[in-house]
Amino acid sequence: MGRYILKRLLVAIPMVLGMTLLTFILMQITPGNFLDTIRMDPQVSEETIGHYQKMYQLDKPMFQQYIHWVYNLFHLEFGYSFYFNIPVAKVIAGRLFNTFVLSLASFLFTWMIAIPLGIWAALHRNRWIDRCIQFFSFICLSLPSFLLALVFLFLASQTNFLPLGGMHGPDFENMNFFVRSMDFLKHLIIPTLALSIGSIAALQKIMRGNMLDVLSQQYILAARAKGLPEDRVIYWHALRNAINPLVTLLGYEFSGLLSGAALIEIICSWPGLGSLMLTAVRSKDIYLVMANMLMGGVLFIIGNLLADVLLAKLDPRIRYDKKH
Amino acid sequence: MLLELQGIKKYFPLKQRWGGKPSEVLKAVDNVDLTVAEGQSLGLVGESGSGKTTLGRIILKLIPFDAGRIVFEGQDITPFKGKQMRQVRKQLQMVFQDPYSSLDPRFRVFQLLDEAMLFEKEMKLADKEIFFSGLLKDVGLSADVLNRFPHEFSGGERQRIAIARALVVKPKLLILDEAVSSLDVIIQSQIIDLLLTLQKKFNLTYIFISHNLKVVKRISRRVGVIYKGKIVELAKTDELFNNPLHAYTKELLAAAIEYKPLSIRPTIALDGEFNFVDQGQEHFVLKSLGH
Repeated sequence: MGRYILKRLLVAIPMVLGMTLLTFILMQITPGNFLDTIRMDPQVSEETIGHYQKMYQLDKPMFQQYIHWVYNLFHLEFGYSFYFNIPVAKVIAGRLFNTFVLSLASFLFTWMIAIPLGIWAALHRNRWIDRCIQFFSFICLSLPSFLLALVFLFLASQTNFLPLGGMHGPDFENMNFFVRSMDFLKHLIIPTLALSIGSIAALQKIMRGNMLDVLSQQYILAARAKGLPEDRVIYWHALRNAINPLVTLLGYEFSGLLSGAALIEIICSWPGLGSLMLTAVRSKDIYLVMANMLMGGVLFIIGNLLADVLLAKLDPRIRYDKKH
Repeated sequence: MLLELQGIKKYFPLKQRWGGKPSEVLKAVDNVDLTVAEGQSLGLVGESGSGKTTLGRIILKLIPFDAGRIVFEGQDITPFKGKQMRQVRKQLQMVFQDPYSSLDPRFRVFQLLDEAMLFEKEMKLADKEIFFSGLLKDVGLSADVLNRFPHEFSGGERQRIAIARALVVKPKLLILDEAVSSLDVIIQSQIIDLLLTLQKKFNLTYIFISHNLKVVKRISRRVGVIYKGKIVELAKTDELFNNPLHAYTKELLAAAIEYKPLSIRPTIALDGEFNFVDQGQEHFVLKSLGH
């Protein structure tokens, strides 16, 4: 298994580099330049611009610039954000926690609701309760999350029950730790709900499908014929086999933890990475975009690897090394 | 009699309106009476969709049925539920058709065998291992397979494991639902030999469900022919094969010998009232009352 992981990680390096190169080229060949924006600012002197140009070799050809960026990468230099006028690492670090909390909350909420719901629906297949779940899932899947966020915000404004966007209440500075946490959680509710509802509907359908698939297998019938109680048949035989495809999905979810959700962040004024990246792309803040792509790519590869390793641990049929 | 089925009916709704009664039904099992004596083997033959598998599952009460009674060892098990039924299931075991999907891929052979004994905690682990090894030897496998997973075995070996799993609880009746149909001919005959040996050793009663006449002929003492959910003919094996009386049985036997295109095959109607008539020497045939 160790050899397999090492191999996968080695293969990942050219993959990440290729992805960043592609991003770099796309950012460069589209018209406009990030230095143009700085030049328009009368407060920035020609010298500063010249300094940047020298620092990132911006006067050199595109590929040389890219190689320089990669070279800096090995020195843990992620570049400079021209829009925010501070190093990229600092810009991202300031938003990382916010995005992580929101993604994690929505991830946990989604999985904790959707998995039991899917199992329940599968066990009550075609009864009215299942039909209700499927009907509402269909509606939830069809509603865009930003619309849901707007609806929730509207309801919040009518009832004054939940805060309207942002991360903190106005007198956040004066609160003690407990009140602060409560305030933070209250602010988290609307964006989390908006992000989760569609995912719950989708994940529930996947879980239901997997479960129905497994329930029709003969070993389920065999388990019943053996004289096992029904809950053991379902939780020991059916569920363990139905969970496999979801482990792969879990790997994808992992990479999503830090990618942010621009629309929801903008609507709920949540200062996360999603809205930051939208700004970065629009203002051609190339190194900020590159750093984000790099982060997303690395997480994606790690997430997939984790899922594959976990799958091999869970399912005896899956072995990556040749020996049996 | 070890097992008695009285007037078993199972109808599947084909078209159902909201809340209403189904307008069309498939009569998967239609008024079936059967008896099986201890230590005997009863073969059930019929084409795909004739209802033979459904009947097998009904005997174990794995699926609900609409009418009739199941009497096992003189005890009416029809109303049994939950724990009571699970106790009875230890006497009635089943071997399924597809050895690739009938063994849970996540379980080692030891766990597969052990699970049926889950609620008999008195047995020690070491005793269990001895017991399982003996059982595996009986089905022609070595004891070192206990720690392996189902996917590491061939189809024939898997079916041996499935048989061992059924035998763990020391059942009286074994329902073999197309148990050799997915195996190749040589493995088929090995498994049948094994089943015959095991029958003698453990005094087992078999209900052998198959579409394969040759296999049924070898293993059964009596054979019932199922057609459209009804038993159309029931007789001792030699008698049935040498002297088939019902039109469908004749058709089935003829089809086993030579291939006939579907277009020139007569369809046999089974409408109206029928009676199961004894033709002597325990040879029963379904006869229409209209004639």
